[in-house]
Amino acid sequence: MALRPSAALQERALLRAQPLSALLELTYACNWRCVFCYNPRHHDRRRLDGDEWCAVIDDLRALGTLNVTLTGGEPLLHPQAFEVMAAARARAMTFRLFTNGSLVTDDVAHRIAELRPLTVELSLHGARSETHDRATAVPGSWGALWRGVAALRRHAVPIVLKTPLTRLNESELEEMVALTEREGIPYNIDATLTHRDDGDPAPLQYAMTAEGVARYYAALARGNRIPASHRTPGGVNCGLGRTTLAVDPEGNVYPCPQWRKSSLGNVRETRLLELWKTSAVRQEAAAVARAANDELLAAGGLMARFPFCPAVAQERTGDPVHADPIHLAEAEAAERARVAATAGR
Amino acid sequence: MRIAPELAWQVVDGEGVVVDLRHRSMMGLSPSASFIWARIDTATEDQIAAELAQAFDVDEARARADVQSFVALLREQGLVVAS
Repeated sequence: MALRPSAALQERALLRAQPLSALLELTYACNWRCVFCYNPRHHDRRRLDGDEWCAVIDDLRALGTLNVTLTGGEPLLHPQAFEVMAAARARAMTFRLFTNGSLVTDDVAHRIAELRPLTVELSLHGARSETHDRATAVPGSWGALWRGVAALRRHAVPIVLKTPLTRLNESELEEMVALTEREGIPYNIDATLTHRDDGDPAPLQYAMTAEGVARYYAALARGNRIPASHRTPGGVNCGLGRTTLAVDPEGNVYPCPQWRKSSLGNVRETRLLELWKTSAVRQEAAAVARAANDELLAAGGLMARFPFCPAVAQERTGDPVHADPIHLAEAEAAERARVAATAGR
Repeated sequence: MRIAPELAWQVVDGEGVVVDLRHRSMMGLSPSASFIWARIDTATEDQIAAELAQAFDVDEARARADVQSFVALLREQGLVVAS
C-alpha cells in the first residue's frame, strides 16, 4: 500500500506551493563507487551537522512537509544520521531512508525499526553478484546488500528494493523482477540516469541501450504499468518548485530533487522557511512546471500524456519545457510496448 | 494528552492527513477535526473548544461537545495518549 496523500490533497498542495516532500542529502560520503552515481564527489567539504539538519526539519514542518527522504551518498555515514531521523519523527513527519545496506548491522536495523520509517529503500544493481559488484565498483557489495536486507527484515522494517537500470544490468531485468518476487520484497525500477549534480555527463555513458529501453517498457506493459501523465490546460507538469524540494549536504536548497540548475540559496545564510517563501528561483521553477505542461499539451502527440521531467530536459538540451529526443524515444518505446502487449492479450 | 508518537500528520489547506505507522494506514480529517487535531498537543480541551467556536462560528457548548466526542474517539482508537 502506498502511503501518500490523496490526489485531491496533492492537487491542493500544488496550488498552495506546499512542499509535502523533501529530499535531504545528508552527506556526499559513500563507501561504494557506483559508476553512474549522480553525486559529484564522495567526500564532504562542509556538510551540515545534526543541529543544522534539525533546523531544516523544523522549517520543513512549518512549511507543511509530511515526508522527508534521507539519502546521500550513504546517509548512514553521517555521524548524526539517527538524530536527523529521530528529529523528523519527533516533528510528526514520516521518513524514508535510502541506503546501500552495507552499514545495516543487526543493531542498526533495530535502531531504524524503533523509529518506524515509512520505508527503507536499497539499490539492487543486478540479479547476480558479479553484475551488482561491477556497478558499485566494490567487491563484496552484493553480499553486504543482502546482509543489510536480512537484518532489516529480522526487525520487520518495511523495505523496498530498487534498480537504476543501466546497460550493465538491463539484460537481467526479468531475473531481478523474479528475484524480488521470490523474496517477497516490493520492487521499483528507475530507467533514467542523470548528469552528476555538478553537470558532468559521465554517468550517461551507462544509459540503457535502445534494446534495454524496449525491454523495460515491455516489462511495464506486461504488468499494465506503462506510466502516464494526465495533463490539463492551465495545470502543472509536476511538483517542481511547489510540492517538493531538495537540500544538498552543504545546505544548498533546490526546487526539486533533479533541478540543479540554480539554487534557492543556502540554509546557513537564510532560513529554509524564508528561502521557500521568497526565492525568485523557486517561483521561476514553478513557472517552468506550468509552461512545460502547456507546451507539451500544445505540441500534442505521445508526449502530451507521457511523464516529462523538466530538470532532465534542461540537463540534456538546455530547454526545460519541450520534450528532448530521449524523452521522445522513451514515449515511442512505451507506446510500441503498450500496443504489442494489447495485441498479445 | 498528546498525539501518539507512532503517527505522522500534516494539514493541507485546512484538511488533515494522518499516517499511522503502526498499521501502515492513512486517514483524512475534516476541517473541524483538523482544527482540533492540530491543537491537541498544545492546548486543553476547553481552550480548543473556545477556539473552535470562534473559528467555525458555533456556540461554545456545541464546540465543547464536539471536541469531547472527537477526543474520546481518538483515545478509543489509540491515536492520542496521556502526556
